[in-house]
Amino acid sequence: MNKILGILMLLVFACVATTMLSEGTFVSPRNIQNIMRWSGLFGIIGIGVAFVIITGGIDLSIGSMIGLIGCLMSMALMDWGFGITGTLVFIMIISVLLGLSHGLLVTKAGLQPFVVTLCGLLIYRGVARWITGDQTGGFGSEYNDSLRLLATGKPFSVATVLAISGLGGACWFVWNFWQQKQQRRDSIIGLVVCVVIAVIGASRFTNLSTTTIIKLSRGTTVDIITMPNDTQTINYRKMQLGKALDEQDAGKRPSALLPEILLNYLGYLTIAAFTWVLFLAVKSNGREARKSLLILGCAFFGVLLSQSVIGGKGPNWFGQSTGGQLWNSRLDMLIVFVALAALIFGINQFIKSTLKHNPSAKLALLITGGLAGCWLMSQTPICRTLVPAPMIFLIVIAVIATVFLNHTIYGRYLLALGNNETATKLSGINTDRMVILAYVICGACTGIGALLFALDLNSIQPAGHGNFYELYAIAAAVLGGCSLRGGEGSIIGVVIGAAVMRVLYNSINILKIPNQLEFAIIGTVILVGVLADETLKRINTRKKQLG
Amino acid sequence: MTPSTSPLLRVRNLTKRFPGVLALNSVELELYEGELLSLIGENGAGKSTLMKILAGVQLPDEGEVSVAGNTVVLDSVKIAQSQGIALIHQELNLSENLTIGANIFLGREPQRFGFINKRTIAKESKRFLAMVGLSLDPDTMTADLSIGQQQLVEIARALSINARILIMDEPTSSLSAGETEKLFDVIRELRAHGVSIIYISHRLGEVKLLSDRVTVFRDGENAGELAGTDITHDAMVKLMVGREISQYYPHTSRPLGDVMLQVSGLVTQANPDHPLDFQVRQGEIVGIAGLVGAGRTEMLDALFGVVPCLAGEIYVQDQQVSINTPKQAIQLGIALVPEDRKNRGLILEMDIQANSSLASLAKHAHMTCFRNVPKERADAEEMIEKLGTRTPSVLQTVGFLSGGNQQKVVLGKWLLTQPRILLLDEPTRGIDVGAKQEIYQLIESLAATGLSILFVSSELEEIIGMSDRVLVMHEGRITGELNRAELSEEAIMQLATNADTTRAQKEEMHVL
Repeated sequence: MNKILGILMLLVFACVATTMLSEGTFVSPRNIQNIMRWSGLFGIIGIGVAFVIITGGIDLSIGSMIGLIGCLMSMALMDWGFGITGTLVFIMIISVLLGLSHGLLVTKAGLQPFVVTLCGLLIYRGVARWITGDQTGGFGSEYNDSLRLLATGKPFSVATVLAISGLGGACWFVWNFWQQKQQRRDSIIGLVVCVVIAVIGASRFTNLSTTTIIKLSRGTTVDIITMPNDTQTINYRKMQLGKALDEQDAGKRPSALLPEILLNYLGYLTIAAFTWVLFLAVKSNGREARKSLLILGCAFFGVLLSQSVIGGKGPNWFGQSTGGQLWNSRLDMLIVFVALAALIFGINQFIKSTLKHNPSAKLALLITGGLAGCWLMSQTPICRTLVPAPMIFLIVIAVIATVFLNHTIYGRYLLALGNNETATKLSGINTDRMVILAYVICGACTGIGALLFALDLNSIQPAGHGNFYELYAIAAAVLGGCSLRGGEGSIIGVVIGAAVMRVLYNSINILKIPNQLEFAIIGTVILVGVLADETLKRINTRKKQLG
Repeated sequence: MTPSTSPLLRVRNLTKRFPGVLALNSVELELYEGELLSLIGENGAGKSTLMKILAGVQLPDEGEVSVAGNTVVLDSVKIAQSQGIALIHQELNLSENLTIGANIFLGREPQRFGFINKRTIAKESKRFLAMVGLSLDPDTMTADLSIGQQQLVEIARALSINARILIMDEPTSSLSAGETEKLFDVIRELRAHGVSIIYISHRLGEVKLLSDRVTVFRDGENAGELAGTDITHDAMVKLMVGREISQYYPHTSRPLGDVMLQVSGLVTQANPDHPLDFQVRQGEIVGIAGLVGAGRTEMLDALFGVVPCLAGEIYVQDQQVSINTPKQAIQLGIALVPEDRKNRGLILEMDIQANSSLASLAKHAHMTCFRNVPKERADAEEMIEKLGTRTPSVLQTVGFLSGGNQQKVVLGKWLLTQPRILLLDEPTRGIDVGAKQEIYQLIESLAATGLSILFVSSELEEIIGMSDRVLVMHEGRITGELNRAELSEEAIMQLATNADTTRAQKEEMHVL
């Protein structure tokens, strides 16, 4: 739990800092879409490898498998005439078989996962280059409006995703209501919040005209966000909230926008929820809560101050600048970073101390976070940004994987055998079969990922396609709280981990930090993250031993 | 050998405490030059703790050790070695991938210009090998040696550090008769050269054969000493046991039901030559006594499908069954509480709820795959209440619980599978007295509800206190069966050290 919280804070920090320093370039629809697409792709393969890592194994062959499957796919579709359905079935069968063979080699032949998949890495790359004769593959423009939409399409806006997930959450809470009688109060609160989120999402979603949606679902990139022009007649509350308006809003009478105005007020529920959290925190641990609130307040003013210091100046970390300007802007950046880090650290401490003394505050915190996020998004253009298809795939896969890992007996078996295989086996569990299952899941996720990578790029070089992707996937999993010793990990952590990697990569580009430093920066962040986590864990164990 | 001279090694008032256990309680020990002193006692009597202290692995809490009249502080293996004390462990500590010579000089390689001087190693190794009667090339790989030869190489290594005091912990436990004989020759030879030896063994025949003097430990205290012709099998057993059984075993006589488990001709890798036959009736508590390594754990493992049964038949309620995996055993209503609960019984990183439900998860699953969380929680809470586990909540991580409470979690896990036959392997090891008695009461009440219980323990007292019937094992075979009326520590120890049953072997020992 603390691990996920930590990595989430890192993500928030990276996003907010980049937004402030890039003066909004970061949150432009195109950039957000870019990040979402790549996070989706890497998240999918990260989830796959997370299952293997949870069993205490590792899969190094993912990158090569992506290369091989990409090549096979382009050949199946273009040269062998398998047709779209045939190709998809073919690809999935191949990836499941590869995963199965890894699993069998690890369990039945007793080989080490590292060795098995290292050999896979070499073999698949070699085979890919051989069958294609090193010819770059692709799908031409023939499938641009059909198959390729799986990767390049942008079917929904963020608002729609919000609405759907709100509805999904509401259904879950209804189910929970029937299942767990003693937690009815929590279920009702959760239900209300999810409905609010669904309504916020739905209202923003209906703002789009049907024609635009059709156009968008065909994959054409239409920038639907336009800033209101000066001659606009509407001047109510929304403007004050700094919300960007749709062209279609222009000239509308305020009464037509009544639902939205109502929703803005609904957003104030965030404040109510936060008050609830504060109440819980102060009630259960007065002194510690006050202390963390003090940090929080100071940090908040720090951020405000730093904002005013840097004013309208743009950042320029490494780039050319004129005269003495460079030093100033570096200093500005430093101030922003420090202030932000303090703020986020304060929030983190506050949440942790609240949770430590009052575990029931978890729901209140989740609700506050969710509402705040929705409110923030519904007030900014992000709400109408279209979500690329890979992100949708990731969300679906992540939901399935989370349910599988946390709510099925097999998920529990995987976590148990990752911690202690002997004890799990002695509890009557066929551990070999579970390990094989983990590798098959990894193979299937890699297959889906490979499919999307290939369709997205439309140009598959047998020698280079997918190189190092296994390392990105493993890094996302490790950053997301998976222990390479096995037995530990969460899906949501992996998704956030993948997002952090992409945001870092993106901010390096946006902030004009020389991109030769890309690997070094990502590596450092992962190292520091893992180190901090390990140190905190050690301190905690020592505290427990002393107490 | 002559008590008038001052002892080479003297241990005075040595006390060592472990959390919850007094391992050694002001014990005394004297060892003279050129003497072979045997140290005997039941498992847990404190022999190995004393040896670890002498070898510099652990530090005592109180008391002093003096070598040749000088008080020494043995706070590392190096210092113990510099005092001439060498310990030869029961498990061999040679690196199999190195040569004999490299093993003998491991960590103390003679050097020349920064390189290992192989010639010196070869020359010196040969000398030490000759002392233990081995005429092997020092360049032979250790992996190619027999166990007996490896044992002798260990002794050669000890001699190479000029050991004056050699501590041998069960050196014959994995040797054949011929190899044992050879080892004894070497031991006699060394003694003749003035090396003092502390010999630890459960095999009273060997002890009788070799020792000048025998010191007996019981419950971490000196129980007595025997010398010369006083060293007899019976005298040693009497000193090793010989305490009163406390009243806290809640044994009642229960009506026994039909035969629940019948085993005939069971052969596993641990007892290839001696098939096991026995039966357990419904509601019966059958104790299995024997020394460590007698094959008791292997037998339970075989019944639970962890190790394969090579031959033999198992009947559960008169139905012949085959048990190849723990899953099959669980389906037949068999449950195993393993000896090593941290590695085999529990997942220490997970909480009580996850641990308790692990073996019965599939039984309560919705649509065969979704966990029934409310049921899991209810079950875990029920077991906490039933077994009296002391924990703040069901979500407590098991690793933070005490030994007794951990064992209750393991028991709870197995009771949730609703077993008919419960296999308990040292269920009270490492548990404080209070928790022990709670577990005894639980076992008794489970038997009263009709469970058949096989109960392995190395503590004679608890075997006698708890069992309706006792099977005694020795080196992979069942050497005897005692009814409740016949139970006594002496009777069990006789069978466990195999004093009477295999006369042929005993005679063989005398020939040596």
